[in-house]
Amino acid sequence: MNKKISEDSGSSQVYTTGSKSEEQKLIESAQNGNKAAFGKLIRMHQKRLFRFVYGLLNSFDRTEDIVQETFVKAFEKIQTFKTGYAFYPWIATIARNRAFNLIQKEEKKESLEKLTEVGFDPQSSDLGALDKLLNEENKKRLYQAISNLPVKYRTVFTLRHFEQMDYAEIASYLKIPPGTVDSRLYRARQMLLDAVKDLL
Amino acid sequence: MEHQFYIDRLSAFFDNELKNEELVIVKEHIDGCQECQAHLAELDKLENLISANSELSENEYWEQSAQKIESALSNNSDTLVIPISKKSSSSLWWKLTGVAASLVLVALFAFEQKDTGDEFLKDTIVDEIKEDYNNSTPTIEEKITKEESSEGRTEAQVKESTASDEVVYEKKQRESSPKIKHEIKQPVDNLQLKPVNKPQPVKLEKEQSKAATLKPQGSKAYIKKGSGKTELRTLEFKNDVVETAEVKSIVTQDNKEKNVTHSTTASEDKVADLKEIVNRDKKKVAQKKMAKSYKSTPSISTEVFEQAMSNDYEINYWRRRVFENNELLKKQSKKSAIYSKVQISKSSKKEKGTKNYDRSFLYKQLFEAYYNIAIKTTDSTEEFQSVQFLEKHANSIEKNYNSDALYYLQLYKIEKNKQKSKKD
Repeated sequence: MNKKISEDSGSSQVYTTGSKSEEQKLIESAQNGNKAAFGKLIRMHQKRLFRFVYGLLNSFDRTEDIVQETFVKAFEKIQTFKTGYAFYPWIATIARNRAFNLIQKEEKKESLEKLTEVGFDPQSSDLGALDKLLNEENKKRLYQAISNLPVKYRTVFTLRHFEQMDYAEIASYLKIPPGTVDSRLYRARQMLLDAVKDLL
Repeated sequence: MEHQFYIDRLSAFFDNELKNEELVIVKEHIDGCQECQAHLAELDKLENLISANSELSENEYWEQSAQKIESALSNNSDTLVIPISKKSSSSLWWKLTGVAASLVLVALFAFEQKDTGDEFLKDTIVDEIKEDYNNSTPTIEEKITKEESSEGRTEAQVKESTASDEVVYEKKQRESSPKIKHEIKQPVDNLQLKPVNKPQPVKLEKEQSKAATLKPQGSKAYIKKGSGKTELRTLEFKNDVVETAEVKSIVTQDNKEKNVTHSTTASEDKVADLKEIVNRDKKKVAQKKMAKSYKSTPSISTEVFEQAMSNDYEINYWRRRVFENNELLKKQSKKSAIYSKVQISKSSKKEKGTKNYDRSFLYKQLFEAYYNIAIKTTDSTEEFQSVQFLEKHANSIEKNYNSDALYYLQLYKIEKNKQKSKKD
């Protein structure tokens, strides 16, 4: 049961010299001004980045904007990227920083809605445009359940499950104590278990 | 330990985030607890479900999105530098001959005008010659415009670079020049950037703002003690902010009145009544002060606000006390380090206008704060850490305030037992 979430490729993975992957070649090519190479990098990573940002923001339009801005910014700063490191964590950091202010606003809005008991309905969120990107019923159910989480729980859940960040990293990013990360993640999982029990 | 303690830690255990003693304790419990093992199995299944179903599906949308991003990249294209051959020296020849001719003319005129001494006239003549020269010899710009305009082609502006032979052309695209296919630098005015949808600012609905129109007003009385005198003050609430009203009456220890605005004096009975008001309202006043300092939801009425945030703000108050006391202790330790080196006498330690807190007093405040956090928090990790702090200092022999830590630790245990008995 002592299972750690499996790490996808790209989380601070360092490539050894003499064994350059396709990604490394594309990065070097992009650093020389090759836009086509950067286009390939976009196609390699945009889905994963989209999933991550959507988990934070729960809004299709805003996610699109953030993803686009992230890749444009990454291309502008491609010269500063140190070769030998994985590309995805770098662009995920850019996206995370851009999404941070929007997350804070969303949290304040939600807490305000809870206080006044007007307009807050955790069951009312709809997948909307994301529906077209989920072709299986189980996926739709899962994303519906994730979308229904309160923003505080959803952000912690996304950072943990989609980005494999540890508690200390999540606490540092969201500026909350590690104990709070633990409790929010626990509650997020409880809510998800209740929502998707029949799928387990 | 209560079973809830272990349940609260299952998530962290599952993520390998527990360390040292906690890990050992929890692991030991799980090995013998079927309920916790079942819970862990559920977490495992949930994790598998997420891994299997979280990836977004293949769709033409991704290709469209990638193309959109690529077009956004191409809008930031740089100027293409086109190297050209060296400019001909014929223009230089023209200039030199012109200058030579003008000098000759100047010299002739000067010679002729020598007797009259009319230098002003000489200067004007020189200027006229220069002007004529400039007008007669064609510049590079004019040459090109003449050539190109005669052929009916596009206009062009040429900028000469003194440093290098490369010249950057700025041309306006026209329909009748298919041969010219250089990538050009658009002038700033003509740039058309594709608009990026910026996120709209969050706006509250009108209904929410309507609910927040209550603004409590009123007054409460309380006693303030300090520097040998007792004051009876009334507080007036304005717009959800506590504002201290003017002092209505001052009562000294001798029961003499000073600066009285009305003639009443606070008798012992009234003081006792007011003490009740103080105890009841201290909490509200502290909450309101914290609300003001945190700048959160100023437009929400106090009733709704207090109802929703009462527990959180009480705990936050104690958390802030912990933080403040720790900061003061750090400052104290720095001061004492300095003083021990310089060996300043005790009398000179106290600077004017600054308080010199006793370390034992600060620690007592800290123990009280941790005790309250341990009692009131819903976060079991925070409770555990607070109790750990109290235990650490209660068991310490070095300091002389371990008795305070022990006292609060015992209080905590008594309170916990009370809560247990209530549940049972």
